[in-house]
Amino acid sequence: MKEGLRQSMAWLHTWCGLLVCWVLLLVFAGGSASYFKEEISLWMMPELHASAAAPVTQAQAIERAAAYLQQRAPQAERWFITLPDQRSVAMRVGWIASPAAAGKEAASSPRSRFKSERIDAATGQPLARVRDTRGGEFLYRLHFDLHYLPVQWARWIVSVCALFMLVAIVSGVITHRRIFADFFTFRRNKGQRSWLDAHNATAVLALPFHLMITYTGLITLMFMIMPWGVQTAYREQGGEKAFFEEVFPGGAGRVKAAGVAAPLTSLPALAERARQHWQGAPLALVVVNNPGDAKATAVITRQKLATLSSLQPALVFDGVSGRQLAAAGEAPSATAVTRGALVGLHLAHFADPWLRALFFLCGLCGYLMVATGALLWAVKTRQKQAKAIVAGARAGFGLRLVEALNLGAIAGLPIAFAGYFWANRLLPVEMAGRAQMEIHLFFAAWALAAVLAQIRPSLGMWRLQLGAGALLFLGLPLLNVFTTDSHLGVTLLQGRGPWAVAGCDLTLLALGSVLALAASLLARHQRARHERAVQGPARRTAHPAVAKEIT
Amino acid sequence: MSAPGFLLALVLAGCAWSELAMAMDRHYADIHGRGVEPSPTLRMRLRGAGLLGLLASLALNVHMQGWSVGLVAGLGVLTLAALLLVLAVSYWPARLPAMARALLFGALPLMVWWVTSVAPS
Repeated sequence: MKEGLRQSMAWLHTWCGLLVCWVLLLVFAGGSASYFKEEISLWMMPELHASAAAPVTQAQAIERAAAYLQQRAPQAERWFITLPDQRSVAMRVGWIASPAAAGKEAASSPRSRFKSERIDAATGQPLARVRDTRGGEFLYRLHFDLHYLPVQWARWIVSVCALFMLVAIVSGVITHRRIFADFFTFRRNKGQRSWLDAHNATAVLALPFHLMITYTGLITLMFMIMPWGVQTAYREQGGEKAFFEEVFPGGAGRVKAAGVAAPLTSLPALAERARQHWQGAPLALVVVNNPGDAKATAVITRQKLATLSSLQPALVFDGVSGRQLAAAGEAPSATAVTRGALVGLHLAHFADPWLRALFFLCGLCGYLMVATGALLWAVKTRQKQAKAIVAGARAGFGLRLVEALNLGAIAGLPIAFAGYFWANRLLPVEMAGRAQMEIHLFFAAWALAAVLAQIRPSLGMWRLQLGAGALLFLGLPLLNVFTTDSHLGVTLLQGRGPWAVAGCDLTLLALGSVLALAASLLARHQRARHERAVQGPARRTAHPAVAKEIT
Repeated sequence: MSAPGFLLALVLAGCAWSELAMAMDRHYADIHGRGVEPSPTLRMRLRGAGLLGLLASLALNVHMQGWSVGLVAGLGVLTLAALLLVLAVSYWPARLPAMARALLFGALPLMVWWVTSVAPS
């Protein structure tokens, strides 16, 4: 090796980071929001805010759901009943129609035959008046499925970006000579030095999170990028399928239908037995395979306990006699526990609101780490070209492209997120294809910001976009006053809740304030620069010394 | 995590980080003037106290949520406290000792609040 280890690692760090940073910004933003997926979904369905306070027992909820499914989809292949929990109030029921009933339009894939509806746990009737929205689920999917792309492609893109990020993190740690000496160091108003300090602080202080989230993110996609380990280890037991059965016990109890009709046993009674089996622990999901068939089975899954693992044990019952057939995932294998803990760490379903907020903040820290890293590259490169630019040359193509992409991603993404939320409040509730339109508007807002950034990647544009993001975020709680009955005045001042909605509004205000602060700092910087230019060469003599200190 | 438990862990971590920062030449000089360095005994004492504070914050989290979730939460609290400290050190470097003292005294009522909130009534 001609260069030292640190230099070559610095090269690796720079290019691994720069190549994928704009996708990583999207992944960090979407992923951070996903920690509050249920809360965002609730926020985006104001019609549910009133009913958030009426609790129903799980047995009652299951009874109503089963009655509804019996009437709505008696011939289905599978039923799914997702029970309400502390974080989501609405009960979701879903079913996979039998291929015969679905007809030609959706022949083979079960996924295309899947339908789901939200029903009121108290009455068992569909919540028709709830606006159609993908809510937090869209942001969650966005962070690994992207959008407008086939899912497989998108996941490959995200996997590769995550791999690059892992390399960037490890090489970054090696390159960073003064991790401990500069642990608390942030030097303000020092140009390039300040960006480096900010990049170091957001990276080093949240390093446990960054390493964990990148690695476990890759684990969630491991069947795509590294299938060989599982294939080899499980060769004798039948390959990947055996592994899946071990890791996802909820899929147990799938048998072929007999084609003979038989009445389904009482689901609430099964639920009660499952509750007793788990010492009264609440249930999460009821799946019925082949309802109304002689070979029906019911799989009841327990809610996750407060452990790291994402594994949920399940009980399998005979759907006709009610006999218990199996208990899946009660004593999971070491493999299943390991994967469960790693995936669980990524999803953070175990986290209470406090810890969830910490995860969210660490995610934002990741956003800032990527943003400051990308800006640092641009600042450094501009510094290198400074002489030529002062002499009248134009900035290089690569520099201009990176600067414009930085602007469109870093300042544009908040605009896209805010646009999504504004669309949720402003689009007519009865509109057809409403959920999809919200998503289109997310991308339209982002595209607008990105195109403007490409046309004019200037400091003024930064100020404009950061300011626009700030106004949009700060305006949302205000918009709630006019479009909902659950604005901060009701949820917080009158203390009527739901608290999740108040929390969302407060978070929007906080994010908006940060953007406003960034815009105003930028304005001050611009003014200072303008004054320097007006005062002319007298001040400029001070520069070489400062420049020396920076470099 | 409860509100008093979270705040207590955060205050302990903030206190610990500020002691560790004060044991460093750069931040010590920010407080006491250019070129001044802490004496070896003071440095040792600050480092010891800082380490103890970090362990106390982690231990509190482990006590509240068990080893697995507690350690994760503990690292999260340490991260948040360190980020806040970086901002404090950057904007008000000279006030670091006063802030550390305030945090230390602030930990006492929080501890009382936390103990009474977990004690069976």
